[in-house]
Amino acid sequence: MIISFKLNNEAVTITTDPMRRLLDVLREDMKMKSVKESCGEGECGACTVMLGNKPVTSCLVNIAQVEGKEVLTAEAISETPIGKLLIDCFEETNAVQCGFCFTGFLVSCWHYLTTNPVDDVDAIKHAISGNICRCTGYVKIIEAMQLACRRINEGAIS
Amino acid sequence: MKFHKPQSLPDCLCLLGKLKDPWLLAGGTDINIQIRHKQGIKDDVVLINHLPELSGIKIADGKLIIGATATIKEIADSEIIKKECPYLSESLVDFASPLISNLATIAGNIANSSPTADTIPLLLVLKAELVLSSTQGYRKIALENFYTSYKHNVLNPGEMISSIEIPIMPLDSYTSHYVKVGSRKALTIAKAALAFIKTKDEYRIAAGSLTEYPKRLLNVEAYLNNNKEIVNSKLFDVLDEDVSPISDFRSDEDYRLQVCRNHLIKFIK
Repeated sequence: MIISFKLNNEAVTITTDPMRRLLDVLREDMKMKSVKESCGEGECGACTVMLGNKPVTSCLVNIAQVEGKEVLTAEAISETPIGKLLIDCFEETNAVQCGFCFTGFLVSCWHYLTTNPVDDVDAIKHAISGNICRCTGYVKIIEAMQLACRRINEGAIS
Repeated sequence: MKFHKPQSLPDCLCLLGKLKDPWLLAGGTDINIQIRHKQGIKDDVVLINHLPELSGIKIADGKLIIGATATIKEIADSEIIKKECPYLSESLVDFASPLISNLATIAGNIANSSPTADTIPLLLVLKAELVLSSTQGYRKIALENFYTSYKHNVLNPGEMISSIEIPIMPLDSYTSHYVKVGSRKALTIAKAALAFIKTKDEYRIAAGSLTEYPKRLLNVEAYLNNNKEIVNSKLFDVLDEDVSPISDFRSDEDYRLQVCRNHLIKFIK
């Protein structure tokens, strides 16, 4: 089946089995290695990508569901102003340890900051509730997000 | 496994009339895992989440009309639902995780027919009706008559859920409460779930994860509706007639029952 969609702001058309997972197409065909597989059941969030302006676990998405939609991965998000700011904040609060989950967190956190960057711990916890980190215990990730919210609200991004 | 992508709802219904027990793929949060693990594989998969006739949320004839492929997040965020039925939008905030509720659809949650489906107790107390479509036309059925036994429902071959209708109630005419008890707050499968509504005339109470499929607790409701003085021991006796909690890897029977009792008492006080 021929499937066309936008990947990181570029139009792509592929011919593939319509039942393949978006995760596999991104990793294997498109070489987007930021998209990682861990649980394969939507529990861990390591494969999070933006699909049509919403963060989703790409292991639960079938490539046929992506026809005509826009996909953004951490590769593109990390190049945006808010993506760069987020990475700085994660570095400053030591919120990345082994790093495996980080690209998934980056996508969920970027969505939060681009839609409603409120420095509210409960709202931040809810926004990252689909992403699992086994190193940090989340405290530093939440600190990184609060720092990013404050910087955005102080006008760090023009 | 053969993949089908119908061009319109009539095309889709035609296809369903011809295929033998296909999978309908909308959000894919259940089916895509089954495909991955090769569990219960079916011969045909029909994509439906691109069909505009099945999407969206609107009001008609005093009812909320929710399209089959509306996602849980769309419903929770919908301005219409927030205004007309904040009970539903607030209760769906903790459904799975934001990453899953951006994909999972309401009709998928209903049709999957799981005893633990999060939306069903809520929709039961809201007296939701399902619109079931086929090439023959459509029929409406109350959600409380949709399930027949564990994981089974009344859908005929060639039939699909096309929308969900919820009667709009004036916000000052009822009080409501929803509780989902799981191992943790986020991304959890319910050990017990209870939805409550109290109007001037009646109690409506429905349970998830406590019966073979989510059900209204009709004996409990009748006892509460007919008795001014509530005796806890009698209430618990009628509760026993309504629920049949099981022990499994997620929780045990005694715990589920105790949680159910506690929340029941809390709500009626």
